[in-house]
Amino acid sequence: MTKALAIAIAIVLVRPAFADPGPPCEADSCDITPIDPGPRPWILRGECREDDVVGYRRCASFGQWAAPALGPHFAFELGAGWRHLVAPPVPAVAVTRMVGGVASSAADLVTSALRARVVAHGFYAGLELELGDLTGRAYPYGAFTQTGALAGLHAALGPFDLGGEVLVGARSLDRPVDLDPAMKVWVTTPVVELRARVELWLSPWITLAGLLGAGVLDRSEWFGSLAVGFHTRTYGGER
Amino acid sequence: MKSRRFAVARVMLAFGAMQGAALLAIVAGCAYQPGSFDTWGHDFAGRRSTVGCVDLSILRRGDHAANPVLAYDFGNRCDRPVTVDLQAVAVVAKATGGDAPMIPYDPDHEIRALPLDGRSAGSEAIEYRMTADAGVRLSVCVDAATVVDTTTSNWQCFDEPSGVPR
Repeated sequence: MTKALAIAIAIVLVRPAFADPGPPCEADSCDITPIDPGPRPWILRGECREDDVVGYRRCASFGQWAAPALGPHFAFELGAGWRHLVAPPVPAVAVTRMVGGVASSAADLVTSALRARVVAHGFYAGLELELGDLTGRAYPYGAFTQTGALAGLHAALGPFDLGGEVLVGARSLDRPVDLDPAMKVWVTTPVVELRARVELWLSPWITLAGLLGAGVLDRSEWFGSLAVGFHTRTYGGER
Repeated sequence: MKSRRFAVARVMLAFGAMQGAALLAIVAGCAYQPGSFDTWGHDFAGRRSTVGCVDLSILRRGDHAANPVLAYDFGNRCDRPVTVDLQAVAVVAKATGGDAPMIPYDPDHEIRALPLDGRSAGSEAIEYRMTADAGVRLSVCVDAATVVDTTTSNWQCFDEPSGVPR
């Protein structure tokens, strides 16, 4: 009995020393044993180390270099711009609660914008968030917020991409009241804008975009913007 | 007028930050440079050639179970995507019994034609096996042009493994 136990312990302890452990591999999915344990290149995937020859590796599939080209083209833009807008009149309900007048109905303001687009076959669609300061950091403060969905088309011309787009969304103005700076009026209005876009490729993944647009619902409104774009496909994958 | 000047200053400040971010991204973003045969500090160690839009390097590594292994490094010189077809690569064994075509060892049927984005690079290592017994293998020959489906042949022969790269 003792002899059998000793043999069992010996097998458990000694067996790993005889077995070919294969490449060091922490993940279960990478538990492979090479047929030729000689020195060869390895692929490192986190804690997993394995042979890099097709058919012998488990962690990294064939053709990972093609992943960007097989995926969609996303573009993310950070921009700043100048906007001229005509604020809508304060709703009657709000006016009745105020004694004095309201803030100026027209404003030029600097805005910051964030855009995310998905681009394919000359078309694109996306979302936009634009924020601005209605009062130029002067008290009483007023805020500009605009969100919307955009869609457009574009074409390559040398190092440029030219396009046009339409934005449909909503704009919210948080406007101070002249007589009582502590009092503010929120006004939300629909927005439709037409824009022209020029993009210059600074590198395979980065563009500098210029936009000019005008309001459709109120044609006296306009805006201009410059933005840096970051793309998931080199040169958009469409050149 | 004063507020307008402040607004212009704020725009310039905003663009100053954007320019800094863009410059950082440009410096950090390393696209494949045509003719460099190098990407992200990884040197293309094999025999170099240019076929169409692709800078290609082929290296014969140490054998796998007595079968030759070819390591491919490739970089797209063009701005547009190209198709890299490692399944269609013509590989022939020069043997004592004559020429014998070789096929890639692909038990999971992974190898296929795939797009490579513009100014991007990739690499693969593939083991090849003879389809028929043609005697003692003397060398392995590859038509590099078949990687990207060009009409002009570009045969390269490897007598011995070139050691372990990287």
